[in-house]
Amino acid sequence: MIGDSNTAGEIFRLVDSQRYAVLSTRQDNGHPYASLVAYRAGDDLKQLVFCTLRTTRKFANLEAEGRVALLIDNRSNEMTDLQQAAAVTILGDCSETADDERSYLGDWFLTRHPLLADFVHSPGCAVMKMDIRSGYLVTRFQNVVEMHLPNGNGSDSGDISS
Amino acid sequence: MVTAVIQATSLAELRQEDSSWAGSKAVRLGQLMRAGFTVPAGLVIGADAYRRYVTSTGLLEEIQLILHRKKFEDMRWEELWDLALRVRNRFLRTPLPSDLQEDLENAIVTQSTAGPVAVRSAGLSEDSKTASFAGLHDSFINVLGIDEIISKIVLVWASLWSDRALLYRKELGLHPLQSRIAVIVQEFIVGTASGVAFSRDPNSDEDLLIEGVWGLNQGMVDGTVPAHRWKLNRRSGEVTQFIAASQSRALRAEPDSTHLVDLPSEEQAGAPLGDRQVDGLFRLVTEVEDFYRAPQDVEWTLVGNEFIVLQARPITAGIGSDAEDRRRWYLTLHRSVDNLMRLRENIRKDVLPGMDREADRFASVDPGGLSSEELIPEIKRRREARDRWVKEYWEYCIPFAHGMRLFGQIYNDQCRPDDPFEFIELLRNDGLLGAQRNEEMRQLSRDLAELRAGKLNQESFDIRLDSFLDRFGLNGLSGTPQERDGLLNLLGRLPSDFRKPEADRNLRLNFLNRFSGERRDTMATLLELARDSYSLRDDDNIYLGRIEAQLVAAVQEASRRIVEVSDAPKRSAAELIRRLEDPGLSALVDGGSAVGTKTESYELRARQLVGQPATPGIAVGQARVITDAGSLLSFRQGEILVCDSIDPNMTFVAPLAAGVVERRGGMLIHGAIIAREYGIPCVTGVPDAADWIRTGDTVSVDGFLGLVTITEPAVRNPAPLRTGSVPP
Repeated sequence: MIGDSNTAGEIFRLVDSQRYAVLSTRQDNGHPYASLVAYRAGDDLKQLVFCTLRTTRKFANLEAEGRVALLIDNRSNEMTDLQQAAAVTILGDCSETADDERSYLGDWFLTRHPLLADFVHSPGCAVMKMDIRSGYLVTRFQNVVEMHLPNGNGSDSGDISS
Repeated sequence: MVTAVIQATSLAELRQEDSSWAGSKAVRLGQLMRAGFTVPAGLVIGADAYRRYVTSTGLLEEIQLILHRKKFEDMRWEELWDLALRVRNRFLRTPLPSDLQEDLENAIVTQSTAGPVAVRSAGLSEDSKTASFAGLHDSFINVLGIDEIISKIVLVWASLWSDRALLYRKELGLHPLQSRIAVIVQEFIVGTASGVAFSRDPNSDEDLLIEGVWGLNQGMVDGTVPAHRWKLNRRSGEVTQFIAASQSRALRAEPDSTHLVDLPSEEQAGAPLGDRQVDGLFRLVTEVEDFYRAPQDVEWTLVGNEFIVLQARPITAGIGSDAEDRRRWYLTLHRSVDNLMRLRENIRKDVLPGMDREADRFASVDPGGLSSEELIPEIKRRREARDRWVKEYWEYCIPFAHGMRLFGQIYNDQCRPDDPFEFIELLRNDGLLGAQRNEEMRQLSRDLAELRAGKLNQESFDIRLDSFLDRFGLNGLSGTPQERDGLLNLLGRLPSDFRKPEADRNLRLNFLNRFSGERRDTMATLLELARDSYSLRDDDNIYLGRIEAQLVAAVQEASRRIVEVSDAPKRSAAELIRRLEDPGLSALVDGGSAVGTKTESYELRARQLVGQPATPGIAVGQARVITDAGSLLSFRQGEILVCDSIDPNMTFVAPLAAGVVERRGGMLIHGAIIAREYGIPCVTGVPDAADWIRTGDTVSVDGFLGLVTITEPAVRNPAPLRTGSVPP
């Protein structure tokens, strides 16, 4: 049907076009906590990787509660953003990558963010993997379309860890 | 804070380099003045004044919000017109900042004459060798007084956003946000004759072409007054052809306005230019061409024996091109009152009675009584008739719909209402065929109750039902037993008290009392015309719907026979239609559904869709997606009506609906008007509404903001609405 590939394509293009996202985690006391992170997403949008030091608040929050929201948008801080910017809120589950994945995913992340090499290779840095469950695309200020993925386990061929 | 004074200079002082802020039209007038041509004195107000107005008031941001509710390329003409009306109303209601007002007053008082002026648009950097914006922006003549001049300047600025200017920019790939506009305030010259002269006929390199009328040339430009034409040899000036027009009226200046007046018989009998004057005009136009060393299009007026140059511009190379053709067509979108009156006459006398006779003729032939050999030519006849009437509909009925739009603009200019569509309230007319049909449906509903209570016998009821169907038909229904049952069920569900609220009569007086004397009478006539425009707009669809229903009945009869004879699936009806070389008809028979392929990669659901707010209010209910006439009969009170577009033939269920959602956009489309009449929250122009929303979804309709939110997807049908695989 008309619009299918357009809508999905808009989400894929938006996620692919940006380098940074706002990550929302949950503190011990239940209060939300927002942080800016550099990310790279898989081509099939089933998984996404970002890195953080284990000493950060967000890492502590993620250890306690892996369910997160991530906001990715293309606003330019201009008057036109209200109608022309697009934003996608992605929901998913985060976990630190195991040893065997860390090196591979860290290098894969760095192909997008080469300037962060020292940061990623430092022993205190955790390479985080997010299994994406759904995305909520907002365009033209108020137009909202949901995209749901069957699961976030990344078992298909497009899996970034395979 | 130091505020920059606006750029405003007398025309005579303009130089070529000023075209970046004053526009080429103003610069050329200055050049002609200095070259010794007689040009009305005046000044130009630079585009920075426009820019200052729209940015300092926040208007540009408001326009952005209005403009981007929907992708520009996805908007229909009617939606663009609505958008333009909304923007124009914002201009009308946004006061000038006091410093800008002061700057404008100073510039005008210093440099313009005390008498009446013309306030003309001068678009910047847009006229090119292949495209012209001539006529697409507004100009005003015979404007008197500083306040009136400034209010007209604001309207010229607003015309940068008119539907025709937006459409033309869309065509040329120009974005209106980047467009700017200057304004020329010029002495208004009252000529005895006026017109346009092309130093080279756009259709012939050998000729020079003059067009002229008695009176002001605005009547000629908008097509109200027919023009006399002279064709001259470009080199010798010899008149090679003269075509006299039958001009019985002329546009004349009156205090503060212009008016069409009857021409004296001696002027009606003669041409507005004598031989010596034609020769004088030939020499003038040739001199202008020599001055610019390129063929020119010169707008002129005659005062005594002197020709005044009102405007001169190069003849665009694009004449005859697609872009030029489109510009000319966009100009025709705005009809004059006279033209609208002629259209009304045609529709009343010929089009609607013709449709009625055609539908009666077909209704007198029962397709079931025809042999198969007779049925195929009958279907062809009905199809050809339908196509013929659809063509008439586009030629007469659609342009006549502009009567509503013309009235709306005048109403808003006068009343400056908060709601730019308040004028629709004045168009309500209970004499509409649709209103009569709805009244008869109410009666049938009462009859049905009596039938069920044993107070009315079956035969009497059947006669009334048949008479109703004969008179009004229901688009897409052909009267099968199932459809009759559906209609009976619907009649049984109609609430006894669904009656439209009374129209607000104060609005009419409030509008008319703003005028006095003859002008008040003119406005009353225009209002009547607008009401007819609305009423005929509704009726024409009903008449056309009757013809369509007769065609469907014949096609369905053929379909039934194919199934009986060949035991083929119902789809065979589409094959029959293909043999009749009209694949479009298959949708009428089969519904023509297309289902996407499900894959495991993702599924999409709409959460919130943006359209245009058509009727204020908020409603929540279960959606009923109307895909055909049959699903319309299943409609239940309190549901949200979701459809591609509400046909006038579908409006009888509107009173049952808690809210209306329509894919087709526009404030003057039937769904929006009916919803407004009944006060039902309505959102129109929602892209793919009938695809994204499913019957049974719980939907919230916000008619204030133009939002449709699917708050709870249908439980009984949890399959994803749209699925797909990862795009490459």
